[in-house]
Amino acid sequence: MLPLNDTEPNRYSFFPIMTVLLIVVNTVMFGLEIFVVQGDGWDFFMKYALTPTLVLNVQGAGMLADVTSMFLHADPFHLFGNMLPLWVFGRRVEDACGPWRFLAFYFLAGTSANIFFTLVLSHSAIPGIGASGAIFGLMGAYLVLYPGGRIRTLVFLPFVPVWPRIRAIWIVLYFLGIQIVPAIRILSGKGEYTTNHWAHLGGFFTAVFILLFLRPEAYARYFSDTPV
Amino acid sequence: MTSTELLRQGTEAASAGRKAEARELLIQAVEIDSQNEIAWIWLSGLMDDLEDRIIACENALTINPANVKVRTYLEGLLKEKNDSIALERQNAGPEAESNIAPVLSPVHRKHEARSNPYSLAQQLEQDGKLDEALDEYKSLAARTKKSADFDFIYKQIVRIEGLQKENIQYVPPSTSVWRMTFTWPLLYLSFAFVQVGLNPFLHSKIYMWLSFPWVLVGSFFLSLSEIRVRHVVWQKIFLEDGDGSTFARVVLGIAGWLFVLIPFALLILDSLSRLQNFQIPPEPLFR
Repeated sequence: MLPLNDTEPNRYSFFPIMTVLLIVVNTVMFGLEIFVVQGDGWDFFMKYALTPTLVLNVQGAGMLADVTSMFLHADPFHLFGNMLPLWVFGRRVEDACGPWRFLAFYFLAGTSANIFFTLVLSHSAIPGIGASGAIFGLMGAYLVLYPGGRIRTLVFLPFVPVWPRIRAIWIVLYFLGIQIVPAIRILSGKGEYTTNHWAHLGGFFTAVFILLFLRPEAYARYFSDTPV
Repeated sequence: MTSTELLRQGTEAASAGRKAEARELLIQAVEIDSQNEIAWIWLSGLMDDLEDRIIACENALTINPANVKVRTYLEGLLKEKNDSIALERQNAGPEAESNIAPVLSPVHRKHEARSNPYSLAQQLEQDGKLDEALDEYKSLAARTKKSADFDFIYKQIVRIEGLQKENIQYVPPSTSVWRMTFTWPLLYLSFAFVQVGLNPFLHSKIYMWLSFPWVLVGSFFLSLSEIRVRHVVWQKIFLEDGDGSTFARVVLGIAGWLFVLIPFALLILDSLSRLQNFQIPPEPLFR
């Protein structure tokens, strides 16, 4: 299942400038990362990714590593897998918040994701990278703001790709669902830790704060039985 | 002499039938304190010119939109004005308009310099009185002569009618200001929490505790500069009435950004200094 686009138009702004800017910055950072990282990149990731043991021992770059880790990706598929949902779910969340508060929410979701996984996997010395924590925050926010929203989604039925408009709640539940079992397995030491499922869950819960970030018109609409 | 004293003398003069003296004293009173509602109400009855009486009423309503008596009186004056314009146009042709220039120009000029013509409608909307705001905009649309002004007013009418049609719930602007004030401090707290190793009691630094109120104030300024709301800040800092001029908003917005960004910059500087002294641990065996 691959979400492709939210077909509903913007209501308050013409262009999602911050969403596009985040995609550009993430892509440029990935390009730089390819040139900078030598070998397995251990030193680089120790400095600029978020490692729970370093955070808890107040070592390394602290909040700077928290921010830079959100802009680092392991490979082009990781980058694409994060930037596509950033576009799909971020555009209308930015529309409802305005660009600067959207940026604040994006960082808050990413940081909450990092805090959450640091607390859960406190003994881990494996650095965490990627924008996915922040993007799960946006998915949660999208669900709060547009519960009836529909997303054009690419679904691979056996031999036949189809792209219906699926309710956002099913997509978000699907992506949440595929986090929970591996997250529990990692915690119990049975699963292989290659994806930061706990960060995804932590980012998703940041959605409870989205109402603070809304522009006044969107906030009034949220409580008025009308689409935000 | 204070505005209150001038008001007292002016009302005494008016009661004694000394109309010109009363007018002079009350004009001085509103020049000292443009928020003197009672003085404006007295002036609305003492002016000779219809236009001046309308302006005095509008000023009184800008200060206190809930004054029903003044509003009713204003409606009567506006009707009178429209009737007289129509009559004069019929009788005297195009030159008639120039004959209704205000006699009491200082009041007129002061009013125009201090407030925008839409302030009453905007304040009614801020107070959630959409019907009354709509009526005020319609009244402005009937009176306006410039097509650009008419376009602006028309947009406001369409917008408010849209809100009424969709039954959008009224949220007081002050609620939005307070709600949005928490956004940047929340982000600052989360960053600071990571910076102190998730243990603020063991590892926090003094600048972080001092910075938090700064972010809070900055975020409040940013919210206030974005949302149209009457607030004591506009009077105390910018010596302005109403909900803040464009200039005041821009200045407050810039101040807000500075207040917010400086503590974040301090966090980044602290991170960079930690990074300089950071000894990279050896790669674990499992890798």
